[in-house]
Amino acid sequence: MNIFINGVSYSVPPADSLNASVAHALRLFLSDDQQQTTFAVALNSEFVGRDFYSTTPIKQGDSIDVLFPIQGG
Amino acid sequence: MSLTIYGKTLNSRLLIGSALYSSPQIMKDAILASGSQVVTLSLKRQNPADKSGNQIWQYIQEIVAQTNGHLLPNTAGCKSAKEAITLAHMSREIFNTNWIKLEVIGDDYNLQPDPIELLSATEQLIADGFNVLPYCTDDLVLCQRLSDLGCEVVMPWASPIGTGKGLMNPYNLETIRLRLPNTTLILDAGIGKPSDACLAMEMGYDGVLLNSAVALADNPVAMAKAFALSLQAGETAYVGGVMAERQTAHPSTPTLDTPFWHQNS
Repeated sequence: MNIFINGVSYSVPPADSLNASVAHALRLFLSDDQQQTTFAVALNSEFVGRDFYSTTPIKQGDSIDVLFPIQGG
Repeated sequence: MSLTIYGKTLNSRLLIGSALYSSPQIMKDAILASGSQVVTLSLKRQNPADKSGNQIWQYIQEIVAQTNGHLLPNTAGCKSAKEAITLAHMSREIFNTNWIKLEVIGDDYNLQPDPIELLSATEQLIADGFNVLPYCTDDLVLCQRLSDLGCEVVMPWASPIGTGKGLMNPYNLETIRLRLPNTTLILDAGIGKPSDACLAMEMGYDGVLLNSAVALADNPVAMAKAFALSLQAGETAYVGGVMAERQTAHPSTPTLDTPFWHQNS
């Protein structure tokens, strides 16, 4: 199963594909240390709260945005 | 004098952005010099291995801690209500605040807000419990509609973001002030010089939000101080009451008993 994280294609391992969640996707994108940093997630342009990463399923072709704080005006 | 926004009392009427500075340390020094207690910031995609974003975030947290300040996340870059609503929810989770500087851009050339999408996003976000600070054009009716929806704060632009052109339409801005006397009005975007900020405060605006004017100055720390002073001057002038403009000259020196040179005329 392929998904997109911040516009880049990632392949979810077959073993994880059956019950893949946002939490699985984040492990493809972030190291364990990086998962402790400050970020927020949207799945197909819908906000997903951190309490729901493990229970929000993903499917082929889904697009995930992982956003971090930056400077702004 | 203090300013209260959505129940939080601030010692400064200047709201300031954290972007475009030449270094994080200069950003911090300038924001501290400004006296502002509200710092805007944003969310973006980023390579998680890139430490620079995290460094900026650390600096901003230090500023807020030192000033007993508040974060004001924005929805910069959003072009639809749906995008802005999603980004606002993401911001609330990260920054733990209901405040959102709502930007929905309708035109790439001048970054003019889209009034239709802005109203739509505002309505939904207020329903979702946000304290919305909408960035909008200097259109009286749009500002009225935003206020009617429940925005305690409305933020019309002075001119397009980053132009430094100052107050393009003083008449519009004065009219908004006159017609919305109970709405907190923050002039946002396009400020170039401290005198621009002073003029807004002389009109009775409640505050000014700016970024480029400080960040792009030759000396951002000095410019931040200048803006702080200009807001104080403008606010004090508004309280003092600016004299009515007159069409004809009036001598300020008393004319009664004018001495010799008029006596033979």
